[in-house]
Amino acid sequence: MAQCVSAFINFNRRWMSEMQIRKLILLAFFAVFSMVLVVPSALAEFEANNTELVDSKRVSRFEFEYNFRLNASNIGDNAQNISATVSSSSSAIIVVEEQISFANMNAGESGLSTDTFTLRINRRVRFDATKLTYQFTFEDVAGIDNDQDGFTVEAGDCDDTNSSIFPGAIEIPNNGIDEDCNGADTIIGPEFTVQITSPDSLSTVGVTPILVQGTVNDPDVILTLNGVNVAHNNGVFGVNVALQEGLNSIVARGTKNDQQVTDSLSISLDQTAPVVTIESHTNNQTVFSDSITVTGLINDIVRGTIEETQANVKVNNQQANISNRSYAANDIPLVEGENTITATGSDQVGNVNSKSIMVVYKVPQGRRIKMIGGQNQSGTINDELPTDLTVQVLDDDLLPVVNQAVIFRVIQGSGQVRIGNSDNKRAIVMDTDSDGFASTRFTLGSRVGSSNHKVRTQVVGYEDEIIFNASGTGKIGNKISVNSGNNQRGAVGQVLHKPLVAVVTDDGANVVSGARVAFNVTKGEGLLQNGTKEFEAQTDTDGRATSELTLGYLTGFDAQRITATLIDAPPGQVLTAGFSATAFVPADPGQTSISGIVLDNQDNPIPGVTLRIEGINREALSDSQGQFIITESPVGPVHLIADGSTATVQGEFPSLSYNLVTVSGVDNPLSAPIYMVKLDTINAVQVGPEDTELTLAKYPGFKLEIAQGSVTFPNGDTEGLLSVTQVNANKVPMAPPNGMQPQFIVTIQPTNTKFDPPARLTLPNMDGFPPGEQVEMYSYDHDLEEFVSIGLGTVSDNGSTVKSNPGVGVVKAGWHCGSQPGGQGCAHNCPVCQDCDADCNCFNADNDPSVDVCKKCENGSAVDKKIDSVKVKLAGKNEDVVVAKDKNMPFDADATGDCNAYTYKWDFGDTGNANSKSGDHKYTALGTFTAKCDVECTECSAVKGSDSKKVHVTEVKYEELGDKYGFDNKTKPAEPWKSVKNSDTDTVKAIINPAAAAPKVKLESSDTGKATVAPAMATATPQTLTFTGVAKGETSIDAKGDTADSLGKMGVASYPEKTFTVSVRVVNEKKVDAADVGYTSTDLTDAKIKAHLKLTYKQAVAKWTLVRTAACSVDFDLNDDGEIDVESWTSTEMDKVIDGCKTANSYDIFLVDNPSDGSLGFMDLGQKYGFVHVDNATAGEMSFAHELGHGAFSFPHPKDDAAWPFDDGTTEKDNVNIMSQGDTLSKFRLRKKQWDIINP
Amino acid sequence: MNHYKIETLFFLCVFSFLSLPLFAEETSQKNAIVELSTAMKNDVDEGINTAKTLLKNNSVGVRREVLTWLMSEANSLYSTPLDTELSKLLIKEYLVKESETLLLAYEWLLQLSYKVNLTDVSNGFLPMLNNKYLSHEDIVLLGVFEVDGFKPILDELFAATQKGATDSKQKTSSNASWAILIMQARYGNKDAIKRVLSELESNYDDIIRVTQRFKDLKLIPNHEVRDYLLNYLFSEKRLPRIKDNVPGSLYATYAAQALAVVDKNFPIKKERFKEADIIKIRQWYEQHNS
Repeated sequence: MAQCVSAFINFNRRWMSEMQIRKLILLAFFAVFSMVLVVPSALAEFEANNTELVDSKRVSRFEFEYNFRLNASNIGDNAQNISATVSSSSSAIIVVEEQISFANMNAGESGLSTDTFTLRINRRVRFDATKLTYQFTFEDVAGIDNDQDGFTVEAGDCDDTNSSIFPGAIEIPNNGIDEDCNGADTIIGPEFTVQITSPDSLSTVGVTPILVQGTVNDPDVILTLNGVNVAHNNGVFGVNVALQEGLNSIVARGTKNDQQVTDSLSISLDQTAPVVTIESHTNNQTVFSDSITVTGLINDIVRGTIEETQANVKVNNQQANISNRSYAANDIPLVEGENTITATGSDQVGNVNSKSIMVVYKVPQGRRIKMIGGQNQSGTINDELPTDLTVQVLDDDLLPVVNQAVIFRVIQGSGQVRIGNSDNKRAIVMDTDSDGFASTRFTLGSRVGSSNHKVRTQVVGYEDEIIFNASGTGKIGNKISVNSGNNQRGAVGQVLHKPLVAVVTDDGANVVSGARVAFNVTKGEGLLQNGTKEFEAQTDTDGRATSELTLGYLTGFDAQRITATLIDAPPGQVLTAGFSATAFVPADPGQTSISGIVLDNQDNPIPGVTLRIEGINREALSDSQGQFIITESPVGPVHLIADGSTATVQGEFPSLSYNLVTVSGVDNPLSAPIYMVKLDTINAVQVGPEDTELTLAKYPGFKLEIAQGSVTFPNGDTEGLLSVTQVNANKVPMAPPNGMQPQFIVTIQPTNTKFDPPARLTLPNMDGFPPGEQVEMYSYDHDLEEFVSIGLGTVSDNGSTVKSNPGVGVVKAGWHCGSQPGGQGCAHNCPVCQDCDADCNCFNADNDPSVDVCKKCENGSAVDKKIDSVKVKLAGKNEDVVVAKDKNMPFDADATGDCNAYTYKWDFGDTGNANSKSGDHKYTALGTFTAKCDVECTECSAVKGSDSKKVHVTEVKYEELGDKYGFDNKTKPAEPWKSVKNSDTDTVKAIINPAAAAPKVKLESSDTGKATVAPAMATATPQTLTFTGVAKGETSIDAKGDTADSLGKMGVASYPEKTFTVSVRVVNEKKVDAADVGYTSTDLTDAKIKAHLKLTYKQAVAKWTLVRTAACSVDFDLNDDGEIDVESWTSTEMDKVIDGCKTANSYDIFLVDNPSDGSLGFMDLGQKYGFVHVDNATAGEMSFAHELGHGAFSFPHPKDDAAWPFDDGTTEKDNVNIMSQGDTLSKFRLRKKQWDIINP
Repeated sequence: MNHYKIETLFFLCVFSFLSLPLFAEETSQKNAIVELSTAMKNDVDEGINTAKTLLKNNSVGVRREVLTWLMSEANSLYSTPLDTELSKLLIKEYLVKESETLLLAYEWLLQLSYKVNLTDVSNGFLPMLNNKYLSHEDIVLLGVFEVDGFKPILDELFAATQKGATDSKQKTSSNASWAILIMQARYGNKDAIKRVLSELESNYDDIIRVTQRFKDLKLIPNHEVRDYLLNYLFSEKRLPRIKDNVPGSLYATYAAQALAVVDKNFPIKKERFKEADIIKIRQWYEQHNS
């Protein structure tokens, strides 16, 4: 390594930002200005940039010392061991520490010194940074000369492993090696020429074979045509060549000694009759005018558009206009009744087809719609027509109808209508004016064509209708894209077998004829059709501009570049399309091979696929990596068949075939992987015997309609299994033409299954075409081995689908899509995630649609997609939740990441699951469950994410706890009730199941004006709840989780306290009649009565004042039976007691003995007076409270009360309360119903 | 004295001290009644004055005893002056709103309202008109005693009830609304009478309607109410049995209790009616067809 020294002077101005204000001015001087000395070096070279102050200190009255780091840049080559010495030419700046060091710096890098230098500065002298000088010392890192030829890679050695290759070495032509490292091998062209002169390339013929003629300027040249030896005499040759339907390549190859020359042409054989449809009318349609305009489509296998020069249509022998595949025949006369309408189409080579329908002309009677103006206009696409579409509405007397609603609706094309200044819409309704007129403005849609834009006018209640037709004409082209000819391989110095074809389209995706296109060779020294690097062509009626290319001498994959620039572009726009080509140096034909790789739609290799060259016994199998090579391949046109039926991975794969042209003596790799989609045979459907629709569950909107008896399988069967499989847009086996990039493609298998009539195809509108748009629908025809247009489809009014137009559909099973021509840019093989600029150089393209579905583009590279986060939301919350049993729980998941769309798979932890992003789930059991959502990229199931949350399916029940007031858990409805006195509190116990839910359970009062509950949130189970009565009334206490659903309710009844008064009085405490009446017991004390009255009636927030009235004496035993007669209400004996013992109190209870029926007491409903038979009652206080229930509040026995809620399945025993009879008297309960009677 | 004796004595003293008020009240209640009965034997006026004194300074228990005794006397004496003075005393007690005497006083005042000249006592209720809220009992008493100035308030309350609004005088509860309706009916409001009878049929089960709400009808002396009750008088429906061996009471016995008040021509003057009475009453109504 060379030891180098450099010094330099440089002035940089930098602002120092970290200094203190009081030092600012001074420090700025030397921090901002640096003087740097520069001395040129051999390789590396440094320059000082700016300094960075580290610290400072005062060393004397006027002197300060400052420590700095220096920032420097390496503007030369790589360097190491870098240091610098700082010096000063000013006496006011003394360098105290002069040496600084740097880390190693590669070319172009910058960095701070690893240590500091120190300056002592006299602040009385103005600081001058230009007085500082930096001298750098370093070692160059100049690289290693591996092959010892005197040149390193850094010095320009283009192969440092071969000592005979280096700048200035002797160049050997035509060997494919760039010995002198000037950028390419020198090629010396052959000394003879071979040229095909007839027919023209890209022409279409209707017969086979055809005569191919040409010239050879050397009689010693051995000539082959598509591999077959051909004689030539006097410099010319002519031979009949058999063609196959579709596009054919014909290659003439001349060899002499080691030199080869080829020429080629592309020609189409069209022996298929065109498809003719009638779109304007349906079979058996009734019309009300005596002439009609018949419109429809004519479609042929010819690529691109069809104009009048390429086809002819007659309707009932009347010539129709043709434009862009649409035809229109105006004023076809009708007779009253049935009319046969026949449209007959013929293509340019004479193939004929026709379509007939029946139209019924009904002479209008009475009311009708009359066309006034606007019919059959023509205008530029997407522009408004000059004349309004106007109709007049007439009544039965043919008088104008005023204020009649008229509907104008666009029924063909993506045009729109409007009234006045209103917005454009697909349909409008307007009222007729005073003359019965209604009119609309009409803006055409985007498709060029003849009478292919239609507006229907209808009036409610009218039988007839008016159809307005309009034709669309094209605009200036604003897109140019590759049609064909890209990515070809050929021999250096030879003409490629296919021309380069660019297509120009306008903003309606219509091809543009007559546009000028400039082809330019930008790399590789190739020559265009005119023998130069620049060639101007004009687009034909198919919008195609064409140039042949003779390859240059630059070898390497896609090394040769050509751009096509649209000269007639909108002002200020540069629109280009790019081509690339690969040139090989031909060699020994025996060493010719074909190689490639077979992948599935997820880029996984498919081993075991048989790759076979048709017509000869050469084949190979793809290996475990999907790779294959067929050795000893023929030279020239080859038909390669990839047979997926032999694949050794699980699943069924189709067979594909490719046309390619090999170059002699080299390996001819395919320009792209062979992509084979795994067929969805599981969901295959039996077709043939009846009308059948095939759909794809994953792609709503897709539909293939197969009519009964319309299908013929390749083996001749008329019924069998048919499958449809979606294909990744970037994994179709062959690129769609005209720059189309359809987002939704399917394959229908078995391929070559035929449908007559065509199977109507409906595709999800994933390309986002506007409603009504006429979209080209394409099929890859396996016979033709190219994409062919099958006609047009129409975008539905809601924009969700594209449905093939009537009569249009899949004719032959293969690959199918709907798309529009267009796009621009280069199309050579830039890596995935890179695109081409106007010069066809690659640059990062993070929106590259060709990237694998499992990857995304990032800084020009494909990186794995990932799901950044999945957030499960249950009941709207991204957390564990509490919900109610048997209630809907909203669920939702938000996924963020790189996917275009996400697929959601829910497992709710019970037996439930779901496959939607959001919805509702209902748990039917209590407990804690884990709700988990696994998320996958819809386009790539390998990209996953997940989130889960716990769900506590919870129930809250309430049990009695406090006993200040009442608790009733037996009354309907089933929710328990608590009573509480106004301005007082009482408690219950909330049992929360599962317990884990407790901290998230809220407790709410529906009416805090009546009663409140605390706490508002539970903390554990059981949870004590305290209620406070506020005002008389009821409130519902509801436990809630994370939804509005109730986890368990109870009621709280608040009452003001009421006090009632009852007198208790012993009757005949003393013996008054020794023969008949005994002593009345007196052991029923006030204390006992009060205690039980309190125990019972506090439940209804009621109190009793017990007044003990002195015993009374009444001789009531009128019949002298020693008993009080209590067998009626009231007996005469009872009346005697009442009259003799009643008090002024609200109620009187008389304590008597010896009741005639042995009962415990008697007090009729709603009465003032009652009896307790104290000698019979074992607990007279209970009878006391019981009888008061009858008398004061009219409580019946529950079993005798029709209104008592026994219909809830409970029994009297269950509902036992103070009014129950028999043993249940030991009970003391009052129920909610009874509380309310006491507190009306 | 040893330690235990001292301790026992201490507890006895404490117990005696704590019990003193209780014993004092009991003594006071007995004394009050003795004092009152003595005075009343001498002269009604003296008795009333004594009652006033006793009611002025004593506990609610004593007051209740005094009032109960007076009510018993009034029931037996049939003395309008006593009834009038007792009414005044009860009104004062009612206005105190002591829970222990509130409903008792209310009930007694309703009884006395049939016996006294309302204008002699109704002024005693005037302070109640200023109350922020009026309870069911307040409204009934103000209406029954025809207190000056209450009718406009009642009209407002009724209008508010009609509109479903809450008036400032009462927090709407079914109880207070019912009282407003009853009093409006008592004042002759035809709509109110219809509503009373309609709600009786729709809002209450048979037991409550017959045994409790018919009592309210006593407050509405009106021929429509009378006709309504007559329907029940002739009804053979019975209440549930209270005893297994005793049939439930006829609705008619309760209808008769109310009719006896509502219909001034009611044939039998009794507090309670038996089935034998009902037969006679029905016959009377059939004969008089009025």
